Parts: sequence; C-alpha cells; structure tokens
Amino acid sequence: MMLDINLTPLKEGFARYLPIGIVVALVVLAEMAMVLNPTFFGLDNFPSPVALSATDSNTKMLGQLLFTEYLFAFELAAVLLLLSIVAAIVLTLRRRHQSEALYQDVGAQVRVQASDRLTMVKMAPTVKSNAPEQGAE
Amino acid sequence: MSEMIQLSDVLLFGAVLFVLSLAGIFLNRKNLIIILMSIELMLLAVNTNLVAFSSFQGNMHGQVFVFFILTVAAAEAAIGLALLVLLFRNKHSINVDDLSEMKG
Repeated sequence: MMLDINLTPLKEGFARYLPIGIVVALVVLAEMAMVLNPTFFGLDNFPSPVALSATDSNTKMLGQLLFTEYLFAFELAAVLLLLSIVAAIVLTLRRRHQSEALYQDVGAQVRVQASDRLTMVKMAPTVKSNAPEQGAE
Repeated sequence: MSEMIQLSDVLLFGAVLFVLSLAGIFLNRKNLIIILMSIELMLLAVNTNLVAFSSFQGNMHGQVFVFFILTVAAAEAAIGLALLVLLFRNKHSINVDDLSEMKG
C-alpha cells in the first residue's frame, strides 16, 4: 500500500459492527424497495424508452447538447477541474530543503536588480597583440 | 414483456449500490480512505437514478447533469485525497479515532 500504516487497528471494528451494519443496510434497502418497486415504476407508468432520434446515437445527442446549450457550464467545469488539479498539487507538494534539488524562487527572480547580476569593471585598455605573427615565429 | 428492463430495475440497482456504500461506511468506520470511497460510491448510485429517469422520460438533459456531477465529484475526490495525504504526513495515521481533536 502507498501509505505506510499498520492495517490491523483499522480492521478491528469490522466484526463488532457487522450485525448492525447489515441490519441498517437491510432496513434501508427494504424501505427503498417499498417505493422503487414495479408497482410505481413499472412499465405501466414508465414505458420502455424509445430512441429519441432515429439517426443520431445517444453519445452524439449528448455531445450536441453539451457543446451548444451547456457550453458555458462545460467550460466552467473545465476551469473547476484545473482548479482542483492546482489545489491538489499545492496541497501535496513537499519541498525537501536538505536535498540536492534546486527550487525556483519566483520572488527572488522578480526582486532582482541589474546591479546584482552585472558589475561594470574599470580596467586599463590592453594593447592589441599581434597573435598571428607570434604564431608564425 | 417481462424480460424488458423497467425503470424500477434500474432504480433498485441504484438503491443496492447506495446500501452497499452505506454498509461500507458502517463496517469500515476506522479507515478514512474506505469511508471516502464509500461516499463516492453513494454519489454514483444516485447518479444511476438520474440516468435512468433521463432515459425513461426521453429527456437528454438529465444525462448532461450527470456529466457535471461527475466533474464536481472528480474535483472533490482529488482535493479530498490530497487533504488525506496531508493529514497522513502530519499525523502518521488515517484512523478516524486519532482525528478527534475537535471533539468537545
């Protein structure tokens, strides 16, 4: 498993909660089945679905609806997914300062002045030497 | 006629999925990951109902709605798991009993 945990304490309540869990599940299922039975939702009240279009498939109709009527919501959903990607990365990003890895410091990059990077040096002019002639000798 | 899928069949399928996730929360109440998975399964079980009604009523908008619910569920799951990883890094445990600091 990805998490380094001891699984034994996580499983200890299983047998203790098994009876009540099953009872609650069965009660809820029975209540739901009392409503969702074929008497109310059978083919008499809800006839079998007919194809909405003779030519287009369900996927095509769904796409047409998604890209026309719901286009703004679709783009909003894309932004939401991007937001969740960024949030998940920001939350789980771990900086290891003791390691050799180098990290980008955006603040330092913005704050930097030209004088920090570049120093003008006054130096005496050098006489141009006659390099080819020296090589020839 | 009886072999045709009727609306109650699909609704009962969603109900069974919902009840399974409910039992999952009850039985694995120590393990935070399994609780999150069960809640996701609950959401998907309800989505099944939306698709079923959309298909049987001949209205495509319900299926578009399911798309957006799935989008939000994906975002929520991503952030939830990220928070879980963060919690595990700080407390070295995903046991629900260890996370009772805000209990009065």
